[in-house]
Amino acid sequence: MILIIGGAWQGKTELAHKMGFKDDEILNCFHLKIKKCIEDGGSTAEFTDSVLNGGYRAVISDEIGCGIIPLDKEERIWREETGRALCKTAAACDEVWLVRCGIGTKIKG
Amino acid sequence: MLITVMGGSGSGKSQYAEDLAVSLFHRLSADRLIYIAAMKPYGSEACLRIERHRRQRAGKGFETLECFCRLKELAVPQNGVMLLECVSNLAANEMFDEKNKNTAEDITEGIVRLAENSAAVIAVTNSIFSDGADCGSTTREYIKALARINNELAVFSDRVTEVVCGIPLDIKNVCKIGI
Repeated sequence: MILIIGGAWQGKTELAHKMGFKDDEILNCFHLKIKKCIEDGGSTAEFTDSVLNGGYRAVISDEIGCGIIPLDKEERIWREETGRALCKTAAACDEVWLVRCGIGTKIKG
Repeated sequence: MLITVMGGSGSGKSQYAEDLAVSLFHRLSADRLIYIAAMKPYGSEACLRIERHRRQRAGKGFETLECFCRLKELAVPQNGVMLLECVSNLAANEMFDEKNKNTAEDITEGIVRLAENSAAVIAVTNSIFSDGADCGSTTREYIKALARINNELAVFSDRVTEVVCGIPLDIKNVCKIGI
């Protein structure tokens, strides 16, 4: 499995398509699914495990942790939980790609 | 030696910096391994965070030294490897609690002085520069000050590493000992 991360609208999904992944093989917007999981009162660690064991070939997520600390507590929790879930996912993936300006850089694998 | 480790929230920068400090402590045959804690234990979120960090570094052999401001005045222990966590807390404490008008200069000087007088310093700092939101003049001043500190530290650093999803990416590396 590979992980593709980067800021919003950087070309992450396009990169996944270029690599030959089909939409149904991709778990897209991982960061938003983490948000939903927190809102539903779930465990982000368990959710992350279910994604890792979900048979996907690629996980795509926005990087959301590089701004000023949000004023809203829920936003702060979401941001940090997403970061930790991404660390765990990156550790489990064979390759990690960071996308900036449409250009993918392999940072693991 | 000075190493700057930066990263966003939950990027894994602390854990990476801790492990690097432990490895340098052995490599450099340093006498002390010190964690300089800059976060004030005020409020439940800060306390939880401090507790999480304590648990994370438990068993790694760190002594903890608290320094919430005036880093320049900190007595520097002999031949130590020091992990400063984190520069962004130190900057907020100086700027907002101490009303220090020279926050960026004072912190940079404090860290460089620390590095010159010890075996190695690892300064953990935050990437907070990429959300594009206009957050008002006070916060903007803070962001600017932290950016100045980070940029200055990078000049003096032997290595600057950005941690992304737990993966260290070197932006600069002129370390002579191959780390």
